[in-house]
Amino acid sequence: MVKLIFIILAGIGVIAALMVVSLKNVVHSAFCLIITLFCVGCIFVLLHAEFLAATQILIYVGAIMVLVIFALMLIDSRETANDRRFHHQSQWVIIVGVILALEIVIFIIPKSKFIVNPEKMIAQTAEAGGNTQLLARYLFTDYLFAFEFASLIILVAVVAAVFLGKRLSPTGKRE
Amino acid sequence: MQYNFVVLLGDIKQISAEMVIILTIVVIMLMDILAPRGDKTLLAYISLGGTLLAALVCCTWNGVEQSIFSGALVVDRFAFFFKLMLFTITALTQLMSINYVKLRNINRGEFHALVLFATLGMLIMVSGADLLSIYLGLELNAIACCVLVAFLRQNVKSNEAALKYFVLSLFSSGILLYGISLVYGVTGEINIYKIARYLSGQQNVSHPMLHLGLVLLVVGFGFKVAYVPFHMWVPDVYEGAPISVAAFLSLGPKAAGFAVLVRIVMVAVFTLKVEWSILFSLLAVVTMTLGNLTALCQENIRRLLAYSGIAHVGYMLMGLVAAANYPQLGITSVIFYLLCYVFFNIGPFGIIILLCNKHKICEFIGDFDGLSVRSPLSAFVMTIFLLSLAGIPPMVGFVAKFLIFMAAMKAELYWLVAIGIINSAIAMFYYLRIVVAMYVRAPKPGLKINASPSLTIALAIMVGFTLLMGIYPALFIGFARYSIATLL
Amino acid sequence: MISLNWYLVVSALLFCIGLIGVLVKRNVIMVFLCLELMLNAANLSLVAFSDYLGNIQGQIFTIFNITVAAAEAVVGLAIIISLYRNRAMTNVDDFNLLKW
Repeated sequence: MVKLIFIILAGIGVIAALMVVSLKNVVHSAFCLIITLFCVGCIFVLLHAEFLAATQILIYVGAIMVLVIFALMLIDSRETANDRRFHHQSQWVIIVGVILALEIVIFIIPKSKFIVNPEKMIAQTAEAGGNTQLLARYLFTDYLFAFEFASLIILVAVVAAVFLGKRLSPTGKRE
Repeated sequence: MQYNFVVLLGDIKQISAEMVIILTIVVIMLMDILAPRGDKTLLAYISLGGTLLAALVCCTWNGVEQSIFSGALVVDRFAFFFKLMLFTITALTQLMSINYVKLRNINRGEFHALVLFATLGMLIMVSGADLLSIYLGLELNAIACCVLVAFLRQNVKSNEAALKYFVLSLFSSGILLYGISLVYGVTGEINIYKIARYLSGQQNVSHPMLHLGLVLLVVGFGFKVAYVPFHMWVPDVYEGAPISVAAFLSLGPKAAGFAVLVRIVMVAVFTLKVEWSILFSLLAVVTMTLGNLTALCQENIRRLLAYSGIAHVGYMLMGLVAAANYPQLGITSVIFYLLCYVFFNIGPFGIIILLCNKHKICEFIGDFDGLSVRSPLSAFVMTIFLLSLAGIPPMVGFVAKFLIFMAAMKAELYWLVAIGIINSAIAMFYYLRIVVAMYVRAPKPGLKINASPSLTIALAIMVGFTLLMGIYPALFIGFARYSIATLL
Repeated sequence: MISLNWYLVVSALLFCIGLIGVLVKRNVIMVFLCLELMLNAANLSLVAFSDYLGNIQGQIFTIFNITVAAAEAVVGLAIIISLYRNRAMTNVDDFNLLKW
């Protein structure tokens, strides 16, 4: 049953990803990407990462993709229906990319052995009282520094967006 | 896992230099908001003061090596060396910017804050002991640099350069993250020292996934360090960005990137040294050859410096290849090269700023025609920098290159040394071309020197150190050797 | 129980699709979408490893990836809009990533 759900989700996700690359219209591509992101979010649930699944959907679908679509609306989208979608050398890139994908899927992944211990995560989660609790316990102790540092990244992004987004008056002086 | 408040305070004390930088940023941003119409030159001096204070605080480190924040960061000699280097780069950039930002009408509080943000990101990169902190530092640096590149907002070139920088930076972090995820999958750890412990405990480390992860990691860091295949942003960004930002980018991220690269390959995956030395030797050959050959046909000095910078990274990678067999010698040569590169590579950018005025930027080789007549001193200073870049004997560039070639010879990489020497000979040509333009050609009308006290101080420091390191390199080589003694 | 390899295959496919997309697309926003695809591939494999290794670090890393991706998106779109204001173009004709 889980296998079936996984195959459906993965199938939809990969097909939507292919459509992101192959579609002509940027808005359509953006919607296909939302489908892929949603499927990845659902796969996170299968992997016992419920908190991340929610985060994925809230931030990726709810924030980033909305932002992209807003940007698309601000920009004249007539140019996006352009026939010359690809670079001239694109066939070589595609061939190399497909070879890379095949190599990873056929040679590298099956030949790799990992120390797998799936019960450990379930036990840890049960012990902590849930995925969110478990994450929080680590996030605010061992990874406290990273957590605080991430706030600086968001701060710099805000400064950047305010600076770049401010309109210039015709004389070139900033308002 | 148990976290104690006293431990936390002790850890914070260890990063007091970074805290000084953060406080300076806060002060600058608050003052920027409180006095929106005023002159921002004061903020430039505050940011410079903050950097110097942070460097001073950094120097009070008592020499005790430890890992802090549950292994997120490490305080060691290696990080100390790179922190001092980064403070130097930042201070030089700030000195060069003070007058330049007024000239280009970009004298804003954000500029000074963003330079410090970028520095902060690099400080965390060089002391990061876990791939997560390194990645976060790298991203902070990337975002701040990206905005700095786009700072000339009316200039389309600046915008395009920023866009290219942004896309390639995100592209490289995508590759880097995938590489990190594979390394994490194989070793089960994201801490560099724990990865090293895991791998040294393994009998057979030739794991295909780990190899792929390593390649992706190295390729991903290539963006910061600017080697092939992520060197494409360099010329466009140097050409489009404000000049002082280009000077900053030509060294800061490169130094931080090399620090991370050295920490990863020498500590985390040292057991895979056969694999990565092959990878680096290929990258070194391609990078230096491509950089030098493309630099030959550049007319714009900023693009020329970009390609020459790529070529210099190629030489440094040679040192890294040698480090696989002779860690001490190889890494010493690499970080000594970086240290002297700070002074003679920012220098030419300073000269370009010296020659630019409100209406015109002298950035073509033709603009330098007859500089020796107009201003003998600046022509002489430029010559010192160019001769150092070219690696001509009395200069420090020669000592640095010699150390790298010696390390490579000792590691019996004769073919690599041969390619390196041929490349150095090619490089001689394009550096001397500028010298010839300055001394032989007739002067052009309209060439004017626009010196300001801060820029003069910056140039004096750079010339002073270039000459000092050329005369007495042993002091600095000793410092480099000291700083890596506990890393290896 | 699904084997770990299945998740890795999906992640590798997403990564390669994103990689190809970044290199062949000419529209900046399209390139940006493909970059998000690559970041997601990395997230997926981190979470998969995290679950199968019984080690929470992968999930922690993913939280930060998502945060950073949001910050990057803000900056990237701000740059695109700023460029668009200066010159009405989003197609990356001169903006060729493969050019050196």
